[in-house]
Amino acid sequence: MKKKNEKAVAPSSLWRDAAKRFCKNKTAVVALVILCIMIIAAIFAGVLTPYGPYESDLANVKATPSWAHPFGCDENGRDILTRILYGARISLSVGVITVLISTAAGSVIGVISAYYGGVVDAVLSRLMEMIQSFPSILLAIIFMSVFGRGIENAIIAIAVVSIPGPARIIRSSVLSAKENDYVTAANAIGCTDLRIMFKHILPNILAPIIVNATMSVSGSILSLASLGFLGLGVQPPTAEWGYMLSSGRNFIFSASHIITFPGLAIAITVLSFNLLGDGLRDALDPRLKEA
Amino acid sequence: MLKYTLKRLLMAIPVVWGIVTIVFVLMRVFSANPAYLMLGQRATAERVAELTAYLGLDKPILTQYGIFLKQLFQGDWGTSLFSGQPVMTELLGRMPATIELALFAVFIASIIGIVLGVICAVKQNSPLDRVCQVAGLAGISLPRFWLGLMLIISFAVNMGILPVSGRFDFMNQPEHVTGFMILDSIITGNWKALGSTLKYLTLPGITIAISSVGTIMRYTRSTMLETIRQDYIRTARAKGLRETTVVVRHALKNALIPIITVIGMELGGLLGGSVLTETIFAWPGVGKYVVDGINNSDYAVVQGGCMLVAVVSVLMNLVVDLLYASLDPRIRY
Repeated sequence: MKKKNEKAVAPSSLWRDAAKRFCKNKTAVVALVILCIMIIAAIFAGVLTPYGPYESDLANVKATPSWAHPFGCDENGRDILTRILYGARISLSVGVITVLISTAAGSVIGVISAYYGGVVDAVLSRLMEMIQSFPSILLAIIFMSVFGRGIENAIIAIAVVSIPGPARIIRSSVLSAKENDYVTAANAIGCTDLRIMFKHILPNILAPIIVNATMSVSGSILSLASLGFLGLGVQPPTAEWGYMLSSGRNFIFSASHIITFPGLAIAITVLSFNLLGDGLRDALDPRLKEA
Repeated sequence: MLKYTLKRLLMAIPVVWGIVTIVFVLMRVFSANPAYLMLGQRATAERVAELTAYLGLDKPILTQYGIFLKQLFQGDWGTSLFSGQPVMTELLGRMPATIELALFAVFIASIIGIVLGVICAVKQNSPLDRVCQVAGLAGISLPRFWLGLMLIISFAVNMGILPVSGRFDFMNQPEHVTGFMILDSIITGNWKALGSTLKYLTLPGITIAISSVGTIMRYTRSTMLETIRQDYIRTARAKGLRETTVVVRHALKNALIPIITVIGMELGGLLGGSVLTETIFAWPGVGKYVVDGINNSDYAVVQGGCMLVAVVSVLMNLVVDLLYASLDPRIRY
C-alpha cells in the first residue's frame, strides 16, 4: 500500500509525461513511423532503386505501373518511384529548413513585441498583419516571379511568408507568461531583459512553438509543391513533387498515373506532419485542445 | 460599437498602405524593366529608353512612388500591358466569378462541416469521431491542385458527367445582368443555363470545399465540446428536454458565433481568389488573372491583383470581427 503511494508521487519530467501521452495516441505514432520511413527512404534513395532520377528509358515512355516500375514511368520514361524518393529529399529538407528559419525569426519578433509592448509591439504587429493579409501562396508566387526560380529563393519566399504564424502565437504566449511571478522575481534580482526573455520565458512557451512548427512543415511542403506546380519552384528537371505534377498535367487524358503518385506522396507526407502536430499538441499541452 | 468600428477602420489604413508599399517595392525596385519584355530581345536601346520614359519608369523611384499612390487614390490602377485594358475594369469584371465560386464552396463546406462537427462532438471518442477527425485532417492536407486534377480525371475524363474546366458553355449562357451566373439565370428565368452553370461550378467548388470542410468541422467540434460542458446545458437536460433540442437549440446556437468567425475567415481567403484552383479549372476569376499576369510579366496586373486580394482580406477580417461583436451580446466595446 505504501509502495503504491510512493509511486504515485514519484517525480516525472514534463517531457517524460508528454512522451507517455504521445505513445497512447495511435494515429500520431503511425504518422511518426511513416515519416521516419520516408526520411530513411529519402536518404538511401540511391541504394534503394536501380534507376537514376534523370535516367530516361525511351522504351518505357508513359509506361503504366508494373513490377519493374511499381509507380510506372513518366513522359520521358523516367521511373516515377525513383523520382518521388529523390523528390522527398527536397520536400522534406525544404519543409524543415523553412520552418526553422520562420520559427526562429517569428520567436524573436514575437518575444520582443510582447515583452516591450507599446510602439514596438504596434509596429511589429501591423507588419505581421500586412504579410498575413496576402494569401501566403500569392506572396510566395510574387516573390519567386520577381527574384527568379531556384531552391534558395523558394526557401526564402516560403520562410518569409510563414513568419507571422509563429510570431503571433509566441507573442500571445509571452504576454500571458510574463505575468508570472518568476518573471517578477527574475526582474527583482536584476536579470537583463535578454536573459529573462530567452532563459526564463522562452523555455516555458516551448510547447506551442513546437506544435506550430510541426504543423508548419506541412504548410511549407504544400507551398513548395504549389510553386513547383506553377513552374516557379526548383529548376527543372530536378525531381520535385510539384514540378512532377505540373509536367504530368498534360497527360491526364492518356496517362493519369503520372500525376497520381507524386500527389499521393505530397498528401501522405503533409497528412503525417499534421497528425504528428496534433498528437504533439495533445501530449505537450492538454490545455491547447483547439481546432 | 460605432467607436470600435471607426477605430478598427483607422487601424486598417496603415496595413493597406503597407501592403501597397510592399507590392510597389517588389514590382518596381526588384523587377526587371518591363520595356525589355514588351519589346523583345532585338529591341534597340532607343526604343527601350522611349518606352521606359513613356511608362514613367525613368523617373527617380520616390517620384514613381508618389505618382503611383496618387493614381491609386484616383482609381487608376494602371493598364494591362497584355490586353491594353485598365486593370481596375478587368479586376472588377472578374470579381463575380471568384465570389460566386467562393460562396458556393463555403456554403457546401459549412453545411457538411457543421453537421459532422456537431455529430463528432456529441459522440466524442467514438469510432465515427476518430474517422472524421483523421478524414478532416486529410481534407486539409490534400494539395488542392492535385485534388482538382484527380476530380477532373474521374468525373470529367473517365465518367464524362461534368465539364473539365471553364465557367459556362456558349450554348447555355445566361444573359449578362449582374455577372453572377446563378443569379443571372434565375433573373432571366433561364433554367437550362442554371443547370449548366451549376455543373461547371461543381468540380472547382468541391475541390475547395473538401479542404474547408476539415477546418470548419474540427472547429465546430472543439467549440461544441466546450459548450456542451456548460452549466446551462446541464440545466436544459435536467428540465427533461429532448436531446436534439438540447444539442441544436441550446448548444449549437451558442457555439455558432465562433464558428461563423472561422467561416468568415475561410471566405476571406477564398474571395482573394483561390489561385491554384482557378488555374486548374481555367476559372476566369481574380486568382487566375494574377497568375496569367505573372506568366505574361504584366506588372500592372500583378500589382493590382495583389492589392485587391490583400485589401479584400483585410476588410473581410474587419467584417468578421465586427460581426462577432454584434452577434455576441456578452462582447461590448
